[in-house]
Amino acid sequence: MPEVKLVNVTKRYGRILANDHINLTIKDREYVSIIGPSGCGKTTLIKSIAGVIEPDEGEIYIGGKLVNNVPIEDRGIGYVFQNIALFPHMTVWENITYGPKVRGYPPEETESTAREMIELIKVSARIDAYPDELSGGTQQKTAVARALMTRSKLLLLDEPLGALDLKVRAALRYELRRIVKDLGLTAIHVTHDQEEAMSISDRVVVMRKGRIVECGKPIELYMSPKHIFTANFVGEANFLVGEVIKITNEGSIIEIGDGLKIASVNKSVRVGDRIVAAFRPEFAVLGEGERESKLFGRITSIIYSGSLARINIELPDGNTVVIKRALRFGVPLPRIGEKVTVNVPPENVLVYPYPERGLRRELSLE
Amino acid sequence: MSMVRLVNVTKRFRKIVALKQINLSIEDGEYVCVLGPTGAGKTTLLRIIAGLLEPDEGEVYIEGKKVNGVPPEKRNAVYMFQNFALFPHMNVWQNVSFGPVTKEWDREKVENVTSEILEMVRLGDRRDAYPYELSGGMQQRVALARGIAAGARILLLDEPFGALDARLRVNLRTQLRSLVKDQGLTAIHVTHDQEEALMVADRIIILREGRIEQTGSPQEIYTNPQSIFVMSFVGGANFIDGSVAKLDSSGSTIEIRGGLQIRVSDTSRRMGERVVVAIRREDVLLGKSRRRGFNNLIGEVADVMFVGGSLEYVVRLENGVSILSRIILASDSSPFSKGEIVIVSFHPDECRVFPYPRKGLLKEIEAI
Repeated sequence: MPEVKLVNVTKRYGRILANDHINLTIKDREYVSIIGPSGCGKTTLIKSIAGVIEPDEGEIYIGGKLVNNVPIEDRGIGYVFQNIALFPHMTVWENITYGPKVRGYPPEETESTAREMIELIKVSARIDAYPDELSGGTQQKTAVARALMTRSKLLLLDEPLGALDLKVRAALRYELRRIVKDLGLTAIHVTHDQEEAMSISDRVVVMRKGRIVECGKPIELYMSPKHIFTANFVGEANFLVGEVIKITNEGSIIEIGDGLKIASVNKSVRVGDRIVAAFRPEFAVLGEGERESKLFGRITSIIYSGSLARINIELPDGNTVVIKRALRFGVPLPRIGEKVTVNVPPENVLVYPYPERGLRRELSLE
Repeated sequence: MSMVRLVNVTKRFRKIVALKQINLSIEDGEYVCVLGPTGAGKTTLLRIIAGLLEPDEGEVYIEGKKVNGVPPEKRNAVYMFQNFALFPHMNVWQNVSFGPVTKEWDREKVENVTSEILEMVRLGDRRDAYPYELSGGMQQRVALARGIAAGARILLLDEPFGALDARLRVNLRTQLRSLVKDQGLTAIHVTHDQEEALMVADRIIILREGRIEQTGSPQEIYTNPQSIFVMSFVGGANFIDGSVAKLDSSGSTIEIRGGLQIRVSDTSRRMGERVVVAIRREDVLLGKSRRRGFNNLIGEVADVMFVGGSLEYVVRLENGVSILSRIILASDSSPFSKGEIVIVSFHPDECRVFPYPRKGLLKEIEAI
């Protein structure tokens, strides 16, 4: 069973540590995505699992077996990458059956597996088409089917939807998840698209500068990220720098300055701590809230984006917070210039220690 | 006066008509997004404005002057594409000052203009860096600064954030818009990302198969899509096939598969006509009780997905039709779980009704 286990996996390129002692276990039948800013080492990691790259240190186990020196074709994996690599002179059917044929697998078995795969990816009507007659989405589905012909139970997906239009990507990610779950596969998926990772995966690994920042279920990473970097990288957040002035039965009160205060349920801090309070734009509403919380300002702009309005509010200290509100029939929006109070439920206010290197650097994506 | 005007522009590539009789006018200072799927003709349109392609028919005007036959460098427009090309052997300063230097301005003026623009794109502290030392987002900003320094008044942006990280893209798009607005530039921005277009554009032009399908402000496009294609491409929706079973002064009743009925406020269709009812995912509410004045249908939660701060539910109705509901995460909403029986509610005012498309529904909404 393809449980994948990485122990202290390290890879250097000259002085750069692309992977710095990575420890990670991916369970059988789990769909795991790896995300992180460009250069974080996510591609190096998946290539090490595939066997395209040899790590400098550490061990890689697939199904309990050490595979460090096992060549890619013997690792029992299906590998799909961004640049769709179908044979242009072969039809869908020929592309899918090519691998097993050259390996000399029994033709009847190949044929029945191919039929099953074609059924699964819903391209039965196009088996005689050549790649250039297919849309990008169908080509990539064919590539997935081809990768699965080896009956491998571990699927490695390196930016599999990267070359496709957004709308196609959104549709294909559900397809991809369905295929993986229907066949009971283990999938490791590298993407630069956070939303893709969050909607497709059982678990998401956030990487930065060669290390794992944190892993968790999508909803956990969104609702209660342990690390401030994750709060910013996965979805949007407002960050306010302040000092803890009081611990209460319900949590803590944070002073932001200029008469602004915000309450959080977090009690792990101490009075006097310099911290960063964070909240997601959709968890804040306009109006009075928690008694000790005082967050107010003036609306500077409202940006509509489809079904949502993004309301920018300038606080007395000059910082801006964003709140998001669903546009609902018959519910009027506030006006630009209006003075408003922002109510953030204390359970949605996350608290982080002020980063040693400064907030901007800590959140930096570049 | 319009900054850019196209009159009856047509472009063919052998047998394929990439653009068909495009008429378009873009005002000075406007930020326009050209949105459409792959192959819609977006890049061709931009390249024609830039002067990198000549149209087969029609005229292109920039600032009132006909520019057919005028080379790209004389058009006051800078074309930025996905894989921006900086001079690799020059540092940031040299790249950005390249235009001013070739114009033989005096040294002081070159210095001033270059510094100002570098500050503007927030790269003042990286003037000595070489392109390979910069991140993708920074390189993008250098390319932009170089174009502006060279005197461009019109920015032609072809998927400018296509090659960048998703999270970085969100930051850069608002920065780019402020820059364009602050400097009084005109921007024509090609993208296939509807979210990007909705966020940055003053006006959106939707291209489909070489024609303009609809144009309007982001809010107009979103709240009043003129076709199934536009509604599906921008924002997406549930599309349900049915026919008009009842028609009265306050609306009509559409019968869908399995004899279920949907009440809509629309009265524009005929009795018995085959139609498509469209409901935005975010207008579909889920609950445990019926809502007064709403359509209320019973269904079972088949799947839940987490999509960008919202939960997206797939609910299977009694008649086998699946309906999507997108509910923004908020502290007061308690999620439903897979297998739960729920009441699916949506208001008759929020249902749009389109005639059933001639080539079938799938052709209009299909993505793959």
